[in-house]
Amino acid sequence: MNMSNNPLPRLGGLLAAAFCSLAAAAPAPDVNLLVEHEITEKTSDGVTRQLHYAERVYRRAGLVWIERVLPPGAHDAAEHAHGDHEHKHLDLAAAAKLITLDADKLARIKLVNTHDKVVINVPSAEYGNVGFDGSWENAVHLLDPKQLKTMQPIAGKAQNYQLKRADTTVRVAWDAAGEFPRQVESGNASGTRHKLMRVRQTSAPATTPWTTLQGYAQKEYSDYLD
Amino acid sequence: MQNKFKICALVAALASATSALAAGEASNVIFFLGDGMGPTTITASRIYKYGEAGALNMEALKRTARIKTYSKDAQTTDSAPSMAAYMTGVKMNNEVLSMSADTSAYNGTTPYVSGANSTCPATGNGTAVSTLLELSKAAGKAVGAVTTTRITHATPAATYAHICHRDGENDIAAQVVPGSGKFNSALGSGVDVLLGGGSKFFIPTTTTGGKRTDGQDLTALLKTAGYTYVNTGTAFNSINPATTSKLVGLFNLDHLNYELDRVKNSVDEPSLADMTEKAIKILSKNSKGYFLMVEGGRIDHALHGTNAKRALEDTIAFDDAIKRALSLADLKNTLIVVTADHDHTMTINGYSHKGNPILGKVTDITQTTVQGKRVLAKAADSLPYTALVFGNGGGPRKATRDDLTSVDTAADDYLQEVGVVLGSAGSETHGGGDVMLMSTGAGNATFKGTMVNTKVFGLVKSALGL
Repeated sequence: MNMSNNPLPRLGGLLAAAFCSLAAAAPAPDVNLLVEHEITEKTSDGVTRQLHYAERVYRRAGLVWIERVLPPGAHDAAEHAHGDHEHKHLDLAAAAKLITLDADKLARIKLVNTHDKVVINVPSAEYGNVGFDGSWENAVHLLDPKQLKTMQPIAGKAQNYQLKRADTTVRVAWDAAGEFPRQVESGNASGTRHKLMRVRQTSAPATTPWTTLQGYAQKEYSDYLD
Repeated sequence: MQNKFKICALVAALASATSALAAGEASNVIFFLGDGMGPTTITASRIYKYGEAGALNMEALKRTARIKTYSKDAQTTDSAPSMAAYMTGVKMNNEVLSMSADTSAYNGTTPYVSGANSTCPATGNGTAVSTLLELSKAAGKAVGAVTTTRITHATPAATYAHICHRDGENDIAAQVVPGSGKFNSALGSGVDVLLGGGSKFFIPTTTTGGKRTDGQDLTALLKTAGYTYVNTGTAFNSINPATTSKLVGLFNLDHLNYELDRVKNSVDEPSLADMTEKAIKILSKNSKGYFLMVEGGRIDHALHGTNAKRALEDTIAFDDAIKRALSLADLKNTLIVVTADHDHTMTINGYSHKGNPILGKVTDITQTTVQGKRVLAKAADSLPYTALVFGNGGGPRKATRDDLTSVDTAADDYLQEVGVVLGSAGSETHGGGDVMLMSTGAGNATFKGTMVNTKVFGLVKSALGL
């Protein structure tokens, strides 16, 4: 998923440190997810903007693979639209994110462009530019489980939580077995901004894409800069 | 008729006198290039570090000019032809480095590069044109290039290499190394000081991180050629400039770290100011003078990423290097030029009250004054916005704006908002506007007015008497 669209990064981030001891000890189970995003914004000029997109997320031990669901042929069309003399480009939508946990327990991200058969190393200073917040927990669970401890359980609904802060309300329906949110919904009191993330399990890919990277060219993020 | 002749003779004599006054005044030139450091970046860096009424060190230079940066084929240039214009006086096409104007970087739509290897044809696609560094070397001066990017990147490469496409960095590296088989003979005994990053283009693929497909270890060849070679800040610090005459320091496989990260993470890389100082101390031992190019190269990269904080931190580091040079150079025989190769699309928004942090959100100056506390200005969507924004940019852009009310927009990794959304990460484009040029010291009198970038070559050449 695009980490910059994580609905809770700042609300939970402020309090997460206090709940470090509550982090899950056992590795999260393997899952294959379809994550659908819907964002609605109403502005004072009477315009309503709606945004829909989806991502596939495959979680395995020590590894998370995230890829945007693209329409057939989308990458070819985008590539050709750049014109003949484009210096170089790194199409984020077409690149999958391969996030791993290294020996010093830090999350590392590489971008994988399966169309061009290229793996791109990304230094930590550039994480923001590829939509990664550096959090392994956010990558593995889509939402750091520690943040649930900062929320109020919703009465009568097991594994449902709510957090109200200032003008914003966030609700989370948590899948305890799978260790991911089934749904995250947030919005402001006036109803002008609303975000909905729905997550459901799907079948595993016929071939796990991270196992087919032998022979891919290795590039650096800086190779795409002028 | 006789009077007209007298007037013409007088004009000619005056022109000659002016030329004689400027020519050869400078024994030394230090050419500072802030990559992408357009006027807005300079203003924002000033406010960031010294406040609205403060001043950067570069502002202490005596003369200011305005530079037109377009390339031969593009309204908005890339770094290769713009730096090459300064170094050679020739307008060339985008991606081309220090070659004649008829050189193309592309064979039709295919760039003349394969990986990091050049595929430029040996003949029939332009010819090399002399650079200020080469002319200085031929005149017996010591020469050097210092950068925070890969030493093979477009700006430093424009001083010592000639190639039809800037991305052929394996070949660019070979051109600066004696004994490589592709050494640029116009460099004579070689560039005396090279400091920066990019060691991956100097070592073979059989070594971790190496990119050379020809199996050569250019660092070994450099040592054979008499260079002292260092690859850490610690080793660099131990170099005694009094006893060192040829120095290469490559402190990273890739670019050096951004200044913000170099300091925050205590990375073992030297600062740009320290590299500048050591280069000056080594080169200034030459009795015939020196030519030194110093690039603040990662200003551009942070701007491409719409990460204003890192861009401003790198600009301050660049400005600190200028301060260091000013403290070391004798301006009676040294010309110092500070300029940029092109602009970016960053601008300063709104009517914030004086003293508002430049990385912060725009304030409503009326309400801030009346209420005596900081009140944020709001856009049409009733949401606050930052003082610094970009005309375009890539990265993980959202279709709707965030409510920035409680967002720390001065955080290290905050990315400013953009007008036109581009899909590619780090793809914010250069700006096509004019840039500033500041100069001081010997021979600076002619650096004034609005000039095309190629004219600067002639002015520096004349100041050196080349």
